[in-house]
Amino acid sequence: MLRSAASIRSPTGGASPRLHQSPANFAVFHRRSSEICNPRSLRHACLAVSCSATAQGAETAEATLAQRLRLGKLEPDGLSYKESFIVRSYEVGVNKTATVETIANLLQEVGCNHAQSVGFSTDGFATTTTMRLLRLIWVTARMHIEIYKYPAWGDVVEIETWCQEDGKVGTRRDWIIKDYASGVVIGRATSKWVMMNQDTRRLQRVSDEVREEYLIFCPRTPRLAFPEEDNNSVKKISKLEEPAQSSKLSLVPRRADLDMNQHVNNVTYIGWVLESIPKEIIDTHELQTITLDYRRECQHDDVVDSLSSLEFGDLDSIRSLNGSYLSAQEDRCQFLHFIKLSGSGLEINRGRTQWRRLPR
Amino acid sequence: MSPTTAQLQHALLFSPRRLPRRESGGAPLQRLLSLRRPAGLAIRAAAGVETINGKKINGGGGLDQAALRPGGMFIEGWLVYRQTFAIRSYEIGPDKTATMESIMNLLQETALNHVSSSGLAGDGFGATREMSLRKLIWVVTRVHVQVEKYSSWGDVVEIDTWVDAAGKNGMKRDWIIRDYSTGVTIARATSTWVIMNRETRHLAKLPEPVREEVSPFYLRRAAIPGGGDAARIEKLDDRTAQNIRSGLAPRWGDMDANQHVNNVKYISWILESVPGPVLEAHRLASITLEYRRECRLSHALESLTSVAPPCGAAGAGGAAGGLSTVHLLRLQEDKAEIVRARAEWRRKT
Repeated sequence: MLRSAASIRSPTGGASPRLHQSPANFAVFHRRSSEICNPRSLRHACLAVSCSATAQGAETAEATLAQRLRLGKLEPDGLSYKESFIVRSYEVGVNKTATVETIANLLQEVGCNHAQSVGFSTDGFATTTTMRLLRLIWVTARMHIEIYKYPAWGDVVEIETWCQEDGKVGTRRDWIIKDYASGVVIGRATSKWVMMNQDTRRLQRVSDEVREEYLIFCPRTPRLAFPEEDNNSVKKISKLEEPAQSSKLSLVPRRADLDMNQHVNNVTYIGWVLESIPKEIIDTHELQTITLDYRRECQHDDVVDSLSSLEFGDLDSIRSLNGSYLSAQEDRCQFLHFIKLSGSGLEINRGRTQWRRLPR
Repeated sequence: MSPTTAQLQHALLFSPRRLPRRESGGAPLQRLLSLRRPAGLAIRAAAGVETINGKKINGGGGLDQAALRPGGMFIEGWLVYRQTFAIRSYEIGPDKTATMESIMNLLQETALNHVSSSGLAGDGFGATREMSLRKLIWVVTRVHVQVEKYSSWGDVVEIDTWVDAAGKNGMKRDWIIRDYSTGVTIARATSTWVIMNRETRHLAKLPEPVREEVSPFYLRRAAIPGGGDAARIEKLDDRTAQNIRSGLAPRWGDMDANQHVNNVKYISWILESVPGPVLEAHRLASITLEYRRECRLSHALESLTSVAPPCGAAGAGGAAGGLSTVHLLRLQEDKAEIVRARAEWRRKT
């Protein structure tokens, strides 16, 4: 999942790529649907936000060198942002292709750069002036990434991103990932963000004027990375029934997993989900789709359990077919995931992954 | 058939390791030299040009874009390899600067691109062709990195790297990192490597064909005058360690293409047992890592740290408020050591 960070660089040159707003304690608040959600430290949508009335990008005199030389730029209509990245050697995993965590990191990077290129709040929180007055911050609700072809070391990928409103309360950021050389779409992603009051830790609806302030750089006609009906990015994720078919217990955050407010960043959760995939699947398949619903955050001293079960069927049925891959179903697996605190069993997040068999 | 200018440009721009090669024989260096460097690629001149009052002046769009192009370039007649990187947001740590881990990742990236761009690359990551034929890979035994100034998000850094022999069977690789816009050196590093058979996982001698491949690239130059920290690192144990953190486990995403834990990851485990107050008040000035044993996926690890008491001016602590730490990373099960490290810290201002 994306590490939500508002990539703001204040004109004085201080960067605050990882956003934090940290509640000292977990406060529980209710969504309208009375689903229990926990606040987390500030995970910011890298939104196109402009504080000023003008529609120009932030071309301050102190723009950083990388900004000036940036390999990415706003599209001519100003409504989306495109950037190219080369896949580095250390971002490549056992399959000799980029890991899904690398992809997630790049999605965050381009989202942050988009936000910055259209002008941003200077306090590092990706908020508009009005949002700050109302003490509002962004939190991630859901992340969905689909990868059709993993890039290898040395490949250049081009990522386009944009954001738009999503219902009355939410905002979404979409991405399309292409192989730069061939122009082929190799992945898509979408994410949903909501506004929360940082004091009450409650989700908050805002007036249209407040939303207008940041929606000014979003396409008005809906543009979806996943335009098809009933696609995977909107499917509800049910709670996995315990006992789980496969699990990895007592996972511990490392210091490197923490953001500035000492909360675990979003990409780490992807790693935890992968930890509970059975070896026979992860050795022979590659991740095609991952969807994560964020419920609660965790900190350095927490210990979590990562559980997974096939959404339909039983692992034993897959195991027994080992060596005789007769049915087409063998080539695709779908898992439900659940990450919870080891002690209390409180839900951290839930997810779904789809896997496809690697060519032998 | 020799590659066209367009092919070369495309290859260097997008895939440093897919540099088209001539089929005819000859040592790699000669092969490389026989490829005419298209004029259009010699855009960025070597250091020293366009420097006014110590600051690099960046010219028009073409020059700037070249600085950030995905590949790197050779300077000083193919002996030094130079690559530039923009620091990405996820490479930044809690104190808003690049982490030591990110810096070491960039060093690794430059090294690998050096090998592949030099026409030496075999099928492995960093192994030369003659090595791949013999199933050999380079394995690092010691790394020393010292950082004078940490970069922030959006900064552009320029890394120069070169190799030299280390003893009879080893290789040494040095790096210098500069801030691209100011030209100031912000970090230096040196490393020692040996050859290992990737199947038996045993050390091997440097075969003569491999020596012939790499020796044209040897450059006798030290990134760190005095050679960096070569002193012995003591081995900590339960008694001498002040802090132990157990239960650290490599994750699936920590494995590299050689199927063992990427050696840069060790830094994050080493730091796990550094006391919180030390991390909050200090920044790593330098770190020396001695790699003893490989780490494969299933092994749980323990991280031990001992903080050396800050001495007077003559002590290891050095500058006011600085301190030293010694580290050990070992297997939880049988206490076999994986990495030893020593770090020098300086107080954050």
